[in-house]
Amino acid sequence: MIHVQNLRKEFTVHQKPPGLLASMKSLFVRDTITKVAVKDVSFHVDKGEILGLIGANGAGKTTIVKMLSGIIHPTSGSIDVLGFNPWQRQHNFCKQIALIMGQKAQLWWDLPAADGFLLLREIYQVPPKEHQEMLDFMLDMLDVRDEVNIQIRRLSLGERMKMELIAALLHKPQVVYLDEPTIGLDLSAQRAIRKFILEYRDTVQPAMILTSHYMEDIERLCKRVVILLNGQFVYDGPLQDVVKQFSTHKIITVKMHTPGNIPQLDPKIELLEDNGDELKFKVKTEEVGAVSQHLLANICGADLSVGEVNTADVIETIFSDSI
Amino acid sequence: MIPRLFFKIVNLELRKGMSYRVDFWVNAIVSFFAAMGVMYFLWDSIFTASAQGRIGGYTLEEMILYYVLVILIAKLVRGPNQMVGIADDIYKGSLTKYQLFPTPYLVFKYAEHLGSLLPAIIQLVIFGILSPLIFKFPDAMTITPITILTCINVVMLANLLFFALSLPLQLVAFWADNVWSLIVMNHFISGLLGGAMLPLELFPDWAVSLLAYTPFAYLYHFPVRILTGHIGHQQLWMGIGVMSCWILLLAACSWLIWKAGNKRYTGVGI
Amino acid sequence: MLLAHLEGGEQEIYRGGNLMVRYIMLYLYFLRFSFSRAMEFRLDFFFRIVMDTVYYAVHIIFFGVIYRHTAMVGGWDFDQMLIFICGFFLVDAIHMTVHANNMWMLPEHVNTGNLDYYLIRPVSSLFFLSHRDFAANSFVNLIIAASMLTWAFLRYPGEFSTGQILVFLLLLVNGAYLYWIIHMCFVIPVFWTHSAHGFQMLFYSLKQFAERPDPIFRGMLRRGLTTILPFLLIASFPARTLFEGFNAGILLHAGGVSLLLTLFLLWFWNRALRSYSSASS
Repeated sequence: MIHVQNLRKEFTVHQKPPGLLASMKSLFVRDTITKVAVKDVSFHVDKGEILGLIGANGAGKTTIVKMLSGIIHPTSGSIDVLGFNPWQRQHNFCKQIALIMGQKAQLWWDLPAADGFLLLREIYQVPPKEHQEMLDFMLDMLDVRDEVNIQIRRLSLGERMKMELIAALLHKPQVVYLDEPTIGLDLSAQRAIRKFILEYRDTVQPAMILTSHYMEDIERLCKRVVILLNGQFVYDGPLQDVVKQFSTHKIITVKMHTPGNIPQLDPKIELLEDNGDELKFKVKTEEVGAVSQHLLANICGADLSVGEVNTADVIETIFSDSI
Repeated sequence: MIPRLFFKIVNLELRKGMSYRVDFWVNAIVSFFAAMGVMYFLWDSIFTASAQGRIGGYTLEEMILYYVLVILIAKLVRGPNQMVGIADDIYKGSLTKYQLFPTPYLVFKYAEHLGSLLPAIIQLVIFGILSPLIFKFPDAMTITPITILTCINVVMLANLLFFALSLPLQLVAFWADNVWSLIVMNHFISGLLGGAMLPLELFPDWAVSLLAYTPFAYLYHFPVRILTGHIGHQQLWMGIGVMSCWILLLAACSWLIWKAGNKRYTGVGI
Repeated sequence: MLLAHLEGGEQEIYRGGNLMVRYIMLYLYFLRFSFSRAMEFRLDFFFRIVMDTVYYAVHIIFFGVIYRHTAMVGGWDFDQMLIFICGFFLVDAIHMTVHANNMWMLPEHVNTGNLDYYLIRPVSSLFFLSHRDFAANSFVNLIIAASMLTWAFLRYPGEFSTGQILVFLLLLVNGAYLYWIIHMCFVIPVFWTHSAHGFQMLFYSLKQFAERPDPIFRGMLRRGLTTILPFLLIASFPARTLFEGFNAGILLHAGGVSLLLTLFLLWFWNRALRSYSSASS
């Protein structure tokens, strides 16, 4: 449903040095530099799939999402969403997509959500009956029926985000972009929203793209992820394979038969956890063999197993290594 | 301590004024020529239609000179930010931030106000030089170094008077949500009664003598007439006296409103 | 072309009939929300009434003082001037009520990126952004301005035919439309400058030209003010159809300029969106 080929986006930024003299100069001329936000990215998303877009701040996630919704014009490359070129913003395209940005509200601040929903019904030309069914379903699902007549600005952050989700999905979009939908929310609200997104996916079978800072969002929602580093993809594939491809370390777990008896070990071996009778070590992949032998030799009476590092940690290392 | 901070604030505002770039200059040029254009064509047609050489004591040339001066001086007296400032601080709750400052808030605000005047001064100089080339001014020039010096002093006083006049209105923000309409009203009324729209001599005599006791007549009309040498010694001192009385009165008034408002503000605990 | 713009360049099927109906329905929602929200700010309501009354009074006094010294301004006597200026008040009140708030907010939408949500809707973004916020608080001013115009007509010593008055009102509505287009053209540069208000201050300085009778302006300035920046077509041309008798030339002139400026606005708006979409991140 979404096909992206060699997508690229550059933009120019003005620079203004501090100081009175520089200010005077900027009255007449300004210096500009070109920044490449997205470098030749290609991918596709199928019906019913939720693609996780992972990247540090400024990696270009939002830029990609905005290009896919037609807000930003790409510098080069091609986008095909439902057979449309988003940039033309044809009304038949707009009617089938939804964009949710956790950082920006789309519902009108000074109106109750119910009024906003009505306006959106009119905008998207949803037949009243269909609209009401969808609305009822979502209000119950997210448990915000009682808040629907309260002005948005008087709602809590979590309630507001739930209303935003409803607002975005009322017209049953076939393509949904979720840009940090859970940002700043408490755990129970995050959970409710995740559950809701999955439910929507199951009933409508849209193509979805999710960006999030919370690895839990990604882990729960996305089977496939792409990792974006400085505007480029460094990975595109199943979430569980991220570890295989990127992990430089493995976890060795030692279960001791006699607790409390920790021997003197090579200080280069990093001890991750110490649960009394269970020790976890983080070890470079190529040193696993040597370290295992070392451990077995030094700890009497223990079971030893080798496992993978957890995904969130791997992804964090990818980002921190790039800085 | 306070004077140094005062000038620091003035300096900061000066810099802000410079950073507007194109918008600012286009705005300055167009607004000056639009205002002048409207007035020029209006009076030109009136003078042509009426066979008299003088209206309200002004020849066409004197009238045009009056408008050039009043437009430029009004900018100095009002400053550029009459819409925002104090009222905004009150709404947005940034007043609390200032309460931690050692400088009294209103002194701080006045420093900001003065600092924002630089663009107006530059405009005064530039358009002051350009105008005689574009418009026909009276042959007998009555502007002298002495009238210029007197005018500068009176403009400073008028600026303070305008600040004092708009202060109580801005402070209404403690109680009401939308003060900008009051500020706009003040702009219109002081514009008409202060001589920015018409020389006050055109008003009926009873109105002229009444206006002499209001603060308005001293905002724009008075400085301009001083500059063109139409105000005698006695009138000058009288005028300065009235201005000072109004400034003190308005300051006292503002102080009371400020006290009451501040109590309410901190009471709410924003 | 206007229709094509509103339709987003392709055929769509509309529930409940045609495109016009759809936009009118949308506008009714805007109205409804604006009124329900306005009830919350009663003091503002009151302030606005006082403010606009002061604005009207200041202008009438201004002309009152001038007419103490002359019998005619631009060929109009005081009674005629009163009809003209009250006509302008009506246009201004329409603008303040229907468009001005939206114009004022647009730069903020552009600068904060809130425009994003308006762009992805299957509705003309130009329509949406210009009409979303109906200033219900100014609605009373609309009534005041209309009453003042009625008053100016009633006290006028001469007579007008019904046809003349209808043409006058039609041209005033066209004047309000032109007023919006011109204002919009001064706001749109914000897409490039990213300043807080675009060139709106400029618009408000130039608007003074609309507050004076057009016969006083001559030469190049007059030509400019009746074509590129048609401030003189807003209230002064309509008033002339009353005082000079029906004149098809004025009607054609106003219609032609409105059409051309509409096309220009659409072009300008599309350029602006293009720039927005290539600059923002």
